[in-house]
Amino acid sequence: MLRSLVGSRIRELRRRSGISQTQLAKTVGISPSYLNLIEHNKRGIGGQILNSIAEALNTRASQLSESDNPTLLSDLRDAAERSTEPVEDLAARFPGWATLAAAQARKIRDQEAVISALSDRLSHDPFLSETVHGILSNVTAIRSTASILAQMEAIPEAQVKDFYKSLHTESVRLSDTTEDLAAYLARAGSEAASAATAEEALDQYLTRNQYHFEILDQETQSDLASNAALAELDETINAMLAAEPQLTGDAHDLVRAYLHTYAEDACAMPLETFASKAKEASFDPMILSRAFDRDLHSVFRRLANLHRPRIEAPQFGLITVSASGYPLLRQPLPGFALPRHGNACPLWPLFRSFSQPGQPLLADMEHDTGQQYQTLAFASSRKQLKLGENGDLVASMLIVAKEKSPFGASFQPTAMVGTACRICTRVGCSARTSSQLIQS
Amino acid sequence: MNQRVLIVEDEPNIASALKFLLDHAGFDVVVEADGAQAVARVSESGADVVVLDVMLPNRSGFDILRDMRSGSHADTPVLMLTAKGQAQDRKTAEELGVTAFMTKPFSNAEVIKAVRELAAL
Repeated sequence: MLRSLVGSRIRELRRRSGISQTQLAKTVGISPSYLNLIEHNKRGIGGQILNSIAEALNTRASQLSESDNPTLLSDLRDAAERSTEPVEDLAARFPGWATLAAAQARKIRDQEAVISALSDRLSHDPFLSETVHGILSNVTAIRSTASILAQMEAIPEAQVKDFYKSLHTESVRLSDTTEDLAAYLARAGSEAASAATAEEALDQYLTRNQYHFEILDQETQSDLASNAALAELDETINAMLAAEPQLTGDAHDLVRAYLHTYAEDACAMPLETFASKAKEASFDPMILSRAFDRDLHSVFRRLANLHRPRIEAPQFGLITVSASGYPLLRQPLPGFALPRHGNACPLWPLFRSFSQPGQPLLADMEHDTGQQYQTLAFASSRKQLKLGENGDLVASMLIVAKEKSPFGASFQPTAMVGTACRICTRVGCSARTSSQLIQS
Repeated sequence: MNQRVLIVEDEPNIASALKFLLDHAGFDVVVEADGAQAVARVSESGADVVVLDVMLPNRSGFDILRDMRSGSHADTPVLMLTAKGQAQDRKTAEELGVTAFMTKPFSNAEVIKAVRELAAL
């Protein structure tokens, strides 16, 4: 990864300094063609050559080799939907613009998902379907009848009266239906907007807090079974929410529900104890589930918010979805975006786990950005089932960079996945359900 | 002898306008509003052409068309009317053996032209 930006930085600085490639190559004692390869990020660089180039360009070697930002590169690749070289170039030469482009691409992706969800709703809403059918019938009757009256002659008087009556009846019905429709759309519009905003608000709140709530980790060490403990927890959460006056309506409820779940997890799996046990068990969720007597979904959540400055733990991403694929909880991993409104890549092992409820699936994935990940997916019913009862399934998937995974080999073929069809660059994927939003 | 047209349509004002138009165009027209009675009315009326709505009480136009095609009305020309006009409706109708397809709202001239063409088959 290091070499991906160093060359671009060297080229940019050399150009700014007004030094030719040949001149610089001669100064540092390498061939111009080799320098050219370095500048185009096709050769790695380090050690003495890097020091010499830095000296010749009047800068520090560390400034040229400062670490890349994988999230920015990944987001930019999503935005550019093409080969990696220009993306790395852009990130190195114009980091500010690159950040802006990546942020805008993320925003576009989210808004596209909102539009897609709303469009889906318009297509499948029974009220809308029935209303549109009614309006078309009214219009058909009015158009046919009015045309007869306007264009045909010698219509018997009684028939003319009937036609006028039917025009009146149909126009009143049309008027009533369109009024209902206008009211419905106004209501649906505001509900949809607040729902989208609520999820976005929850994401922003969690990201701002880096998915950690130390106060809940500290205050919920005791058993939450007593009413007094629950009341105290409510008070703490109320105080946290009071500090976020921008959270209203659905967003307020979503954040409250998240914090309650976090507190329950914190109570059942106290941070320090959990961190120590997790390390001892090589972060194996099965062992932790047994040790703390919690289901795997809870253990996944706790593992996903374990990574923090004072705790040594791999950084996990996490997504929990309903059986329809709608995200109930999402904690993206840097470089691995998670869709906010469903329509995730159907090849994720997450969805395979629905066919094997209760069975954790360990799998390797290669994202269309080229990054390798390991995942652990698990589906189960939300509640204990009675005999003959159908389960309301949810599935969770932990995601971790392959090279940092503590889980070992998966013994399964690597799944070639993306985030969602709309932003996936894979060509010829049999699972594709919609075309790429921005064609390269 | 005039050719006979059966209109299967539950919206009375549309049925009334269609009946007037087709009467005026020289057909003998019968109207049926109930989907459950439609197939029997095709036989009773001896219809040469059937104008069939999709959304009907009791039975859909698709069910009626399916019964007609699998029974003794395999060749009776059918003009299907739908308020949806979606690609899937047209595809379903074609698979079931519809002769012509028209989406609401339509013009009077279009309907008369279509029924005349079907009657000439």
